Amino acid sequence: MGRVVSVHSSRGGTGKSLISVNLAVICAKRGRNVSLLDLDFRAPTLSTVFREREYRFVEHWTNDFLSGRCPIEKVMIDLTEKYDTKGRFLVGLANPSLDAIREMITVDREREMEALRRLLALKRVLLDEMEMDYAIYDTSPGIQYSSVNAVASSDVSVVVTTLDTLDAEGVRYMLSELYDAFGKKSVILVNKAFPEAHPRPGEKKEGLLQQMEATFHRPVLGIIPCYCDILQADRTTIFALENPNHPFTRALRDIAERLELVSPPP
Amino acid sequence: MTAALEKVKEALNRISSKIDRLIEMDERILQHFPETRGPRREGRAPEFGGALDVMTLLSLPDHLRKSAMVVCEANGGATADEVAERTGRARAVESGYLNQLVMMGHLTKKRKGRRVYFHVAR
Repeated sequence: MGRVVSVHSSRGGTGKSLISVNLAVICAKRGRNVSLLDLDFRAPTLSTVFREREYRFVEHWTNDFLSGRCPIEKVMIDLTEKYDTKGRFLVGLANPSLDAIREMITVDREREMEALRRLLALKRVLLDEMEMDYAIYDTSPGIQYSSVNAVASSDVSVVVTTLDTLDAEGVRYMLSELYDAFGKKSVILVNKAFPEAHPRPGEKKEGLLQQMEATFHRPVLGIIPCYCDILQADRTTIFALENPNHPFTRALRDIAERLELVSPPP
Repeated sequence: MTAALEKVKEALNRISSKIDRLIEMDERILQHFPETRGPRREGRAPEFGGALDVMTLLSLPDHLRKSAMVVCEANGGATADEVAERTGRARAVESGYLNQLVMMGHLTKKRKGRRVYFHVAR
């Protein structure tokens, strides 16, 4: 049986969506069957990345699945051929329209309870029936219904943080108040680290890694430096595919390998 | 040593059976005195504290959250035995926690033959 991985952070702007998209494609390129779902209903972003050609034809969104309007099979778009991945690569997009965002943030507790029930049941459908090795949930930051639903229904959470004290404090709070509360496995991924914080090839990297593991008491999947060219890159394309030899892509490949160690698929 | 363990096992089985009988008795009493059934007893979620959404789950004490999550994940309800197997706790203890969640209006229970199934209250 595969694994459901939620990508979460305490605050916005840590790079969750960039990491979710690139990690998902890298895993699919490595031969894993991967489903990537946008569960960030307040600020949907995956539709921007994957909208080229497909966008106009999207009839069903992850919003529709959570609201009980359609099964997940209608939401998932098969992009295996488009990105020429070895494993299957499916994507579920969240509706970026204002009406859809308003609908998702104004639902009552009963509807949120239904959404949780659907997400818990979704795991079996994605991993057993659709034979996915990984289902990757791109979530909204912090503690709100959509992100907590995603964390509660996943097997492992990748918590993306920067070295900013505000981010780190938020992560520490979430680790004790959220992940521990649901008994969920969580791992840390440090993104946008200062270049001097990242070791050069051949240099020992235990220092910062150990420091991070001591701070969060969790395994650290990796430390990715901040790259200006990523900020300038076209976000409607997938960076790792466009720049296979970029240090960011190489770092994510290492992270994909480590993810398999901390949360191995079959 | 083995004999002592056997005795403990027998005692635990007796306690478990007694708790089962008490639960059945409780159900029968409620059937005869429907006026004692509040909205929570009928399985309807009360206006506050009923719906088992994630924020409510987070507000529960750890021991109850663990039981509630197992019932949430079980499609079609779960018995105290099934929940106990997942949480690794004694059946009698689990039964107590599940009934507490019923009293709080988060779960309902339905009897099917000899087995009692716990469901998320809707």
